[in-house]
Amino acid sequence: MKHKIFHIVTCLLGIFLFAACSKQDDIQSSDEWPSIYPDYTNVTIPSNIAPLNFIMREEPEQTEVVLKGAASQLTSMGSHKIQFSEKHWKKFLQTEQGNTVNIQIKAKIHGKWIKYKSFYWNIVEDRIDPYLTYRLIEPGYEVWNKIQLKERNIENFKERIIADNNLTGGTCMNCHITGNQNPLLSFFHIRGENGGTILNRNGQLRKINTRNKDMFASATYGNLHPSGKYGVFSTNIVVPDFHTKAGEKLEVYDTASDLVILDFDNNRIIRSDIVGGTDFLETFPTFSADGNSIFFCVAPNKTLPDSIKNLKYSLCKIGFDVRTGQFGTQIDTLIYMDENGKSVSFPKPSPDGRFLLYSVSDYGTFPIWHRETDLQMLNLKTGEILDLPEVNSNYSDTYHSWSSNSRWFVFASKRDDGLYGKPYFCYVDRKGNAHKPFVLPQRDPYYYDYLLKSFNIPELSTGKLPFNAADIEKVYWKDKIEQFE
Amino acid sequence: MKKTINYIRFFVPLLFGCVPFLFFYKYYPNHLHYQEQFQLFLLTGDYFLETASTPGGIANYLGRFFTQFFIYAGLGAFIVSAFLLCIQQLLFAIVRRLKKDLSWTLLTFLPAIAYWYLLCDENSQFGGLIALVMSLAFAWLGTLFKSNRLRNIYLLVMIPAVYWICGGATALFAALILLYEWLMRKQKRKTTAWLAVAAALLVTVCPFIAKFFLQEYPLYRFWWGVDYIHFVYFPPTTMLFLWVLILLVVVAICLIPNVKKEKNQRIALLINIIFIGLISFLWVGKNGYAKNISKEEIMAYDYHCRMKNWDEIIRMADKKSPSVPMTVTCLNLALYKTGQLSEKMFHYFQNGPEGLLPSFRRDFMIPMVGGEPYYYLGFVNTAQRYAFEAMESLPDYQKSVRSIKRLAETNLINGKYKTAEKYLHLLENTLFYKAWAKETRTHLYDEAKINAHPEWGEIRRFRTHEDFLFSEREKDMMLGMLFQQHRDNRMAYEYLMAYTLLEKNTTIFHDYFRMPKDFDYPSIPKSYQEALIYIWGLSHDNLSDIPYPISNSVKQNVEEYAGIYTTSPAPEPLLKKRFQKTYWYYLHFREYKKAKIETQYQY
Repeated sequence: MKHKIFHIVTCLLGIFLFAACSKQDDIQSSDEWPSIYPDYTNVTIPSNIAPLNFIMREEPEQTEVVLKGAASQLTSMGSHKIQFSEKHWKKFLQTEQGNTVNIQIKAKIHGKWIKYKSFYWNIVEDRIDPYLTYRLIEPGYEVWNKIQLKERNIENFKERIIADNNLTGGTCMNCHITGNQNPLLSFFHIRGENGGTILNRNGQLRKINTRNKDMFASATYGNLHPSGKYGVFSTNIVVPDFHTKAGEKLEVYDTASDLVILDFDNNRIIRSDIVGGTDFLETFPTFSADGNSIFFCVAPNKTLPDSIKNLKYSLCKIGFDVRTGQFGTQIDTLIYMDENGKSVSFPKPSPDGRFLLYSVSDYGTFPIWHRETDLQMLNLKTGEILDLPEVNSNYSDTYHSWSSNSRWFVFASKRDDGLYGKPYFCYVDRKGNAHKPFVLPQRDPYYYDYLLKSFNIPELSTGKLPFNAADIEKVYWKDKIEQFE
Repeated sequence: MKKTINYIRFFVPLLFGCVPFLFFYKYYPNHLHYQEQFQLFLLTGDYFLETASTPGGIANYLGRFFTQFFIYAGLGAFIVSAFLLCIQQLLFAIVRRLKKDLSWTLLTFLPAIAYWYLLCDENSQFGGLIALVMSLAFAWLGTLFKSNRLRNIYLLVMIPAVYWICGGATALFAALILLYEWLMRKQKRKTTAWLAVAAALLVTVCPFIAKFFLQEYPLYRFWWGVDYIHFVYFPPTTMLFLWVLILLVVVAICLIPNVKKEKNQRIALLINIIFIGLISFLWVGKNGYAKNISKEEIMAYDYHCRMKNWDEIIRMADKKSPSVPMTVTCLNLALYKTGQLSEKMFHYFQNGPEGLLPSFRRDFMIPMVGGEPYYYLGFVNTAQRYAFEAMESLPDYQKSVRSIKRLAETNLINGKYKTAEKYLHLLENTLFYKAWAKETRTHLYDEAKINAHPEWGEIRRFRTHEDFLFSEREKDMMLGMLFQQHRDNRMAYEYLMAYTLLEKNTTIFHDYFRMPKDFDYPSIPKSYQEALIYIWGLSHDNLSDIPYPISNSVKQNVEEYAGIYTTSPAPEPLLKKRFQKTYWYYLHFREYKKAKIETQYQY
């Protein structure tokens, strides 16, 4: 008898709870999109991206999310945190690639169910390179604390550390740059006593002193030639200063900067007067997709910091002789900026050679601290400049890099809180139209709320890097530095 | 009599619980406040997982959990004394498993006293104490197993577990159980020796395994696990001595013969009490307290500055004039806040412009205090930078709740609501800042409410509306530019004047003094009068012609001062006696060091 009563009570309780949880008869329709974070409404995503987990900012008691595609459907339930099953998500994206998926969210807030205006995800067949490297660092001023270079597989949530300044005596560490999205060709600089430029070429790590006796600084910003034989770098004397007006924070500028070529086969540094000297400041060099020319930014030297607001960089191009490793003899100006114009930084050509993506800010050479910084795209075939309004935000959007198929690019944006940069992915369709970007998804969608670090220089790569933090620790402490002459 | 002896044995631990409590509550409270501000303990699962996911992480987590209560000195003192007592009680419990005679068990107080001494050092972290207490607790639990086999299994299984919980203190845990085996002779010596070899191997291999899985930390950090001190790059070798002391205490108590006669027991008890009393006095009193009391004073200034207890700062300075730049900064700010800066700044020791506005250093303390005057001046960006950089300079990579609070404030004042919201969200996940964060959140996006706020509204109004780059080398120019944009910013004016006086740049002082301003003084402040009459005296014979209303007492004083200064072959001692609270004495006899401006860059 006791057992029977227990069963009846349990059943009734179960029915009651089920009814309480699932009753959606008096559901209210809202003509607004739900307040979700990250903002994944109406975005274009690749078919190989990790689940776009998100939070409902209204903090409902219950949420039901239905992803309705042309051929399948995926439902996820939760309270205020929506986390999709990785297995189901992957299968769903594969089934629905090339389709537009409708997302319908219903949420129970203060006991009442609300059905929000649905939004869509365009799942495109063009895949994005599966690995992303970035530097995680507090967006500070002069002091650095813990710096990590990390690699994330963006098809899932696996992340690993490729370098950590904990292991290198707390020294400063610059961002990791891949050459042509190739994991077997990359570099980054480690500063400090045992530091140098760490070159990863075919998985072999070298530590290079990129400063010879004729140079005023070692290599700073740069890029690698598709052949892997050369690197083009700017050598900069970098100075930080601090704004006093609200909204402005840090001003970083160069009091001197030149371009140099590093010949990795012959351990030599190649310079040219045409991209050197004190009259002009040359910076942010990068090889063109075919490797036959170099894009860079240049500005006439000014009295700094007094004339900082008149420091405007133009976009230029110079030839490069792959055989000799020499700079060309003529500079072409692609985008000229006079004192009334803006300032160009970080030119990055698409791997198919069709577009050149760059940042524009009101002045200077350090766009990440300029709130007004936006991305622009130059069509190298037609010369047309695209303003990318779908991509840019009210805060700094810069530090961009392409996916190997030229259909995607990633960039760091401060749009969420104005200070902490996060990697956003943007699709560029065959017509050259950029679509609304979306932030790197995280397993726990609250991750960004608690993160006090910025993602610097996110770079895409076609595969996993062939080294880890322990290798870098060894190179830093044990390997001899190679002096380039 | 035996009863009396037992009462004393009961009373001593009780007394021991009270003495550190009184010590930290009455004489050392600011060391507790100091610790609390340099962490951001979040009541979130992620914070727990992040902290506890490294060897010793659980001890670190618990240490930080308890440290958050240090914001209240009474609560902090109670926690510290309770855990110190735990050390003694656990060691006592272990010793009791080895020996029934209680004659020398008061020696178990020694490690607790030693840790008390260590806590007098501001670099100590509370997680270290937790790790010690837990490793002792696990060791004591191990001695409770009657079966040899179970005890052996417990030891070998628990070494990695204790390593994960308490870090390198697992070595102490293993050593105590092995010592117990050795002294109790419950097993064959050979078995114990093999057990010791196995335990030693396990203790050694644990850090290597941890390093294999957690590549981001250097190996040496895995030997210790727990952050015993803030400077995690330096091995806390003192802990080794403490662990050895614990083992020696156990051995000593066990090896000293039993005291059977009541008279001898009394003598032993007396020796015990005198010994621990003497050790407490020498370690804690002479070394711990006396050597660190000057730091306690600095921390007190810092704490009162943070809590805006301006009168308390002045009360402290009246008792003993501060001499360190940081404390002088707090005093000058307190003097301004109570309307006395221009009148009384030279009544106290001044160590140059650095005592007014300290230059930035890569340090977690100096920028924290240095940012305070900038904040109230209206240099909100500079205050923000100092708070951010102080936090980034923390050597143990923690975040600072004090910095986060200041960052929330500065972003709120600057109208950077999204950034402020991020910081407030963090503070809403703390125990003691939640209420403040929730209240502050009501100001977000509400311009009128911020403008009406007595502190934020004023600071917001005094910010620069024309941008310029801040120069550490030209602070007087910065103050001048700030003042020129807001002629009613009294603090900018007084700091500008004070800066030029402290720099002994009387010409610039005179220029600035004549600048128009949107407020008045009932009479010219005393330090200005002293400077003005000095400047006038340099080029005029007759002081009575001075075109400023200078008080008669200042006129009389300057004449007397000038008389001694010009006629005496060694005027300094005479002038010090009579005029050390004047600007003239500062001008002629106070030397100060010029600041070294640090620049480091990460790009």
